[in-house]
Amino acid sequence: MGPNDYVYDLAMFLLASARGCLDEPPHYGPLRLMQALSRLATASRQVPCISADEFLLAAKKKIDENEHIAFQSEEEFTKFLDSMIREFTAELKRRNKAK
Amino acid sequence: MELFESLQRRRAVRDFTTAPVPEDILKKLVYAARRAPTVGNAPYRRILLVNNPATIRLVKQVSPGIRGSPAALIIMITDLDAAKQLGRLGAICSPMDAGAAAENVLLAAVDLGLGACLAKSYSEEGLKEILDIPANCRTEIIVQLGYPKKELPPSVKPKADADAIYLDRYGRTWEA
Repeated sequence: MGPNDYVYDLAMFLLASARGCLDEPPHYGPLRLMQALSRLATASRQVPCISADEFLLAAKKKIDENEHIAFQSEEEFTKFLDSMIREFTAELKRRNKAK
Repeated sequence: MELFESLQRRRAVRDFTTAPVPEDILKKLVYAARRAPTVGNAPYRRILLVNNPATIRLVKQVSPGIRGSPAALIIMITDLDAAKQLGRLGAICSPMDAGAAAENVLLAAVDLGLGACLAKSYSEEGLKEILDIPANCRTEIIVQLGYPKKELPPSVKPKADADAIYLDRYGRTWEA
């Protein structure tokens, strides 16, 4: 898959998800956004100017392993999303300090 | 395999190997779909088999509900003009009849050593564009199929209020 194929793949996923969100249960919205984030995390594999990022790849693994929670418990899925936000925020802080 | 063994072993399988599904197996799956009933024995159900990898990839691109890479898809479709002949009953029952056919495919898949999973999160318009499905038709459900990539997951315990069973009158619980 080339860089443009990757972008089209992601674009179509977002577009189809946007349409689907009108008919699907409300919690599918955050689920699709997390699945899109999982796909975005592998951009480095497809787009040469983006370097591989261990943090993003680890985040992808976590999302792929935990997305099923969205179907099981809103409370647990909320906790999962909050934990991911805390991890991303800490990573951003670390990166900003390093600059 | 006995029917009840298939019922017990069935799981939602979403991750598949790259192995294609042989044609004789696909024919058995389609046979299973066609053995499902329709209301009034009306001929409004259409069954679309997709096993071209490039086409499956396109379908996957418009289907957020398809996570892995299935080797084949069986799509249940209702011809709405044909369903109209049954009046409102056709409108109400056609998705059920598609579901019955899909369930037959899911159980046959277990029997044939395949994994399968239903998908309803897809773009209707996208699917129609890719597969030349006419405007007077409605897709009902996709069955994604392939050989399981990993060991089957353990059975999930049903939620407390799922499939409550009653005897003789609604609310009178029966332990099956």
